[in-house]
Amino acid sequence: MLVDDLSVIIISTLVSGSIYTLMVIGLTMIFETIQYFNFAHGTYFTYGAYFIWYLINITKINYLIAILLLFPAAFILGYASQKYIIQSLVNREASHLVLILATFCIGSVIESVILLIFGGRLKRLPYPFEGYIKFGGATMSYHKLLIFITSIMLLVIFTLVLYKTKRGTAMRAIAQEREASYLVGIDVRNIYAITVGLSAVLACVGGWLMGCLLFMTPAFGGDILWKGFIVCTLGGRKAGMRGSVFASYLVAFIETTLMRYIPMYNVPPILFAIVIISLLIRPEGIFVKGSR
Amino acid sequence: MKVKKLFAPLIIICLIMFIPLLFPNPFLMHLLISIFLFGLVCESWDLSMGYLGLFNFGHLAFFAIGAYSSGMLALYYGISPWITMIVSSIITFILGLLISLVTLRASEFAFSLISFAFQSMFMHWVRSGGGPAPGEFGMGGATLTGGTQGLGAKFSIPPFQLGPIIIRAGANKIPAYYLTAIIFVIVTYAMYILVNSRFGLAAVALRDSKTYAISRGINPLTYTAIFISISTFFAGMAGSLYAHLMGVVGPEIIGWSNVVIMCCIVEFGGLGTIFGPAAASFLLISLTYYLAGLSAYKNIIIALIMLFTLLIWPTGMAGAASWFKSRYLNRKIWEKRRGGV
Repeated sequence: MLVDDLSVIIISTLVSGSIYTLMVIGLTMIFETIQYFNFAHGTYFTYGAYFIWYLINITKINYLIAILLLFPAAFILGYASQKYIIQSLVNREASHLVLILATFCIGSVIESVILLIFGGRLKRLPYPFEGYIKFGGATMSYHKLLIFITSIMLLVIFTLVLYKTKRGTAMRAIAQEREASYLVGIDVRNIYAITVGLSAVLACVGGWLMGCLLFMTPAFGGDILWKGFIVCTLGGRKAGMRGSVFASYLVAFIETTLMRYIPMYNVPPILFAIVIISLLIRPEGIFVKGSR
Repeated sequence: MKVKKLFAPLIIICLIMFIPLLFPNPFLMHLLISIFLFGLVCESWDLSMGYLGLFNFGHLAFFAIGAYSSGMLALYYGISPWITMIVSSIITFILGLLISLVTLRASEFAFSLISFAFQSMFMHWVRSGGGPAPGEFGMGGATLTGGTQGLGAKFSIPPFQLGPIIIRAGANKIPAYYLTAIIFVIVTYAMYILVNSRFGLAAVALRDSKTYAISRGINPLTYTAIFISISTFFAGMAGSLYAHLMGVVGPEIIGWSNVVIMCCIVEFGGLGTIFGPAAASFLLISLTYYLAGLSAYKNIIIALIMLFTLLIWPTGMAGAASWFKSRYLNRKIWEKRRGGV
């Protein structure tokens, strides 16, 4: 009995933790470089899921090609929203409140356009791979395995981009010292746009993976966004990549364990209370090295 | 000089009070009632968003908590709505104090994120029902919050009663109009006093130059937390008014589209001006009433209005008014003075 529970909990922790990772890495990266939290990130999820749905069901493209097309589409969305809208506010040295409001507007425009085109009906993406494997007492479908593997792969690629390429080094330089990176001749605006583009790619892939698992509505990104924010505050916004990954798996573990044992409608309030308590104990976040 | 300053508010108050006598049109009454209700929400949101510069995304959640707690207390336990209004305002005050005290110790960003999470969490909880309703109200699997249908869909929330008069927006609109109008005027005046007091000035000082304000002896945590909880107090009051006037509270009042509209009103009216959002709520709530048939287009239009306000004229309507005043009205004074010299 307990073993069964444990295997189910482990599988769903891996699945939802991977999804949260895809969201949180993008969020913290934007925060580190440009110093705002992107409230449109949830709609990037929705955008990714509906993009794939459109390609598969309306234009009848092969699944693999659709996924390959998702990457440039997502990158363009993030890049354009940063370059043409938010950058003009950053140029004016607007306060972070104004930036947050602007991202919030962008998010609601994207969401309403999706609602307008696709309607509010529940939709579901087909699995890319059918079938499942036996895993202890529980079964794990190939798709759940795919979610885990994809998120790990994207993380590895992402780390390589950050640490091995010139643009990635520039990103880290801006995160550390913005004025100095202007001085050494980094094209800061371009790097900003690339940062948002890359984080949009992560979010859109997360949206595609999530759209196969759950029914999707135009608002389903917002549901994951608030979990992402909880992860950000629990782990600490300066936790860095490793801390964010740990924090997202931790939140996923707490959530799935609670889901298993108590009524579902009580899970969000309890999760919220846990975060509040953790903030009381460690305001700077539990995965930040070196306190106050 | 002082008499002259009183002139404009008195005219506005007289106008507000005489409208139902001049135009007793039910549609207009209903529109004005919702304008006053949401105007209250926007003004109180402006306290935290404009005067403190903090994005309290969960402001509408406090509005909804006011509505739901007041409605539940009155519906399930039969307490008089006048008392539940005060109780629910105090509940939202305490919740706002708790959340802001805990999160502001970490950072401003944590406050924005946690308030967003609070809003989503509350909406999730309301949608899912939150358990069975107490007593005979739980017959047939009815839930505590009424789920997606809303609280009061089966048994409606009891209205305000003043002697023999039942105050409800659906049935007799004129008493409901006067109740909301009086509360709107009083609360607006109270906020005006608040932001011009030492307390409000301290908040503005914290927003504009935190280090300097701290060096002058303003405790950032206490001042910010109390300011935010005052704003949530008024939001809860507006929520409970809404619940008892409308009789039904659904989860769509904290839905994404409603948040966008309220946020747009505050931004469009002008951040950090109490009267700006009040004036903008007149314009934009009437706009949303006329656009109601367009559903999804409405959200796009509202969000685009907000985005263009941010990009082109960040100070909003209040900023436009003060620009107009300095450009055209004060110019004569300036020229006259110049001619004299």
